[in-house]
Amino acid sequence: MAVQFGGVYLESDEQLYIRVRGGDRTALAGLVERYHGPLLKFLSRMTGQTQSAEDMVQDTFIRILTCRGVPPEHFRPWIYQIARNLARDYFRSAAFRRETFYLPDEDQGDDWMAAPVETESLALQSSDCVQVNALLQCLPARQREVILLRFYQEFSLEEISTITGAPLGTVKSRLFHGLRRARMILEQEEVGQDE
Amino acid sequence: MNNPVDRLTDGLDETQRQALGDLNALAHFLETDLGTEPETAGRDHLLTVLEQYLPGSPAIKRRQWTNWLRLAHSQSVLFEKSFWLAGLLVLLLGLSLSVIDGRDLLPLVFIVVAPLLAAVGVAYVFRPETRTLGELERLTATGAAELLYTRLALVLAFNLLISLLLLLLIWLEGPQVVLWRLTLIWLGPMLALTGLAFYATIRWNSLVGAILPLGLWGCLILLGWSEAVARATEGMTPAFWLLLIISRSDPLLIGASLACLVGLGLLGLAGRTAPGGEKSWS
Repeated sequence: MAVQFGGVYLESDEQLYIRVRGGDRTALAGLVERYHGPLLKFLSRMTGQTQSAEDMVQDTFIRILTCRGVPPEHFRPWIYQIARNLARDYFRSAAFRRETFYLPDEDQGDDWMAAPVETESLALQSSDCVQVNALLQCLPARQREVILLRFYQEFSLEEISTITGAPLGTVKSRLFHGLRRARMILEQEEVGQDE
Repeated sequence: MNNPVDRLTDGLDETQRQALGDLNALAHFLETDLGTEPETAGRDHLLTVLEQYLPGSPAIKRRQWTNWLRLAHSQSVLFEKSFWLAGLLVLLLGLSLSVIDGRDLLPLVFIVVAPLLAAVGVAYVFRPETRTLGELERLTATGAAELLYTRLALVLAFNLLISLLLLLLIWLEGPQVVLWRLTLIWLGPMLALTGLAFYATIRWNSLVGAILPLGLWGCLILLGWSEAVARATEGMTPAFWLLLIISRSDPLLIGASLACLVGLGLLGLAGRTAPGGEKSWS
């Protein structure tokens, strides 16, 4: 379905993607134009590493180009699902484990979680952008990804449930605990600065 | 939805919202992060890289064969010594039988053991330990189905090589067996059992993938054995009886052809069942 934007009808992501699968370079440029920035922001916030995020964005696009299956009904959640899975693989990778302290996520019975950064390190950061990044890195990856997808990408919780493969109740729980933790860290940080 | 707090909490239950309290400070704090904007040069570079992967790109066509070979090489590390040894053991068994009593026993062993070797081989290379692949592999654009079929092709190629060597032995012994009939009667069960092992392993797990074809083949062997024992009263050894039906039975040939088709169908079905990512092979 075409999307109306400022009186001009734009092709939907799904239409563009079908053209991309037909080998259309213009359609590919259109998809890159739409998703390069948002995916880079999502993955940078998710991993805290801009260079790794750049690589993952490229891999995400390569995956959608080499996909041989049926084109997705909803493109946007699908591409974020791929990006999110790449981020998950990054957290599992040996390179990541070498660089960080690695903890298994016992609550979820699974083994991927970015190691929470100690809250003290927040105070060491200077610009707002870096501070937000530091706060996000304090959260377990499963909570962080839900907050990112909700707040910055504005996905509904149902869509986040599809993207992460977690039941809706679990997504709500992760969002709730993530927000509570983030708020607590921020308050501690503010108290620390006041003192 | 412009209110930043709503952007954070929309979809949560009322009790959860209340328990979270005032999130204004957090929402405004998060809003200060505008994120990393990609540079124009970076986007141009990305497009240049991606154009190589566009369907119909000449770069893709040039890459294909070398990519498959690299992929096959990368997958071969999953096969441990025991896999190669098992195949060689069967070959050794065939060689010894051909020395001892090649005319009668070798075709019997060939028909009974070769399909089993293939099915067990499939269950072996798709065992749980191999689900977690190498770091590099995780970060490549290789699809789950491509990985599955590459591994399967390696198993089949190895088993085919061993089976062809056994066939050569049978041919050299020169019994009254028509080779193409023997080949078809071997290929049918082998493909069917491999397909079943492959599908069951992808659909459930490698244990089911091993038990199901082994059980099925065991039942068929028992049925065949009881028939062979019944023939023993007529003075025929099981091996001789097998040679006889390989040479004369058309229903067996039709059954083997059908088994080939079923096997191919199951292999295709398994590729479609290949999971997409969450608990996938890639």
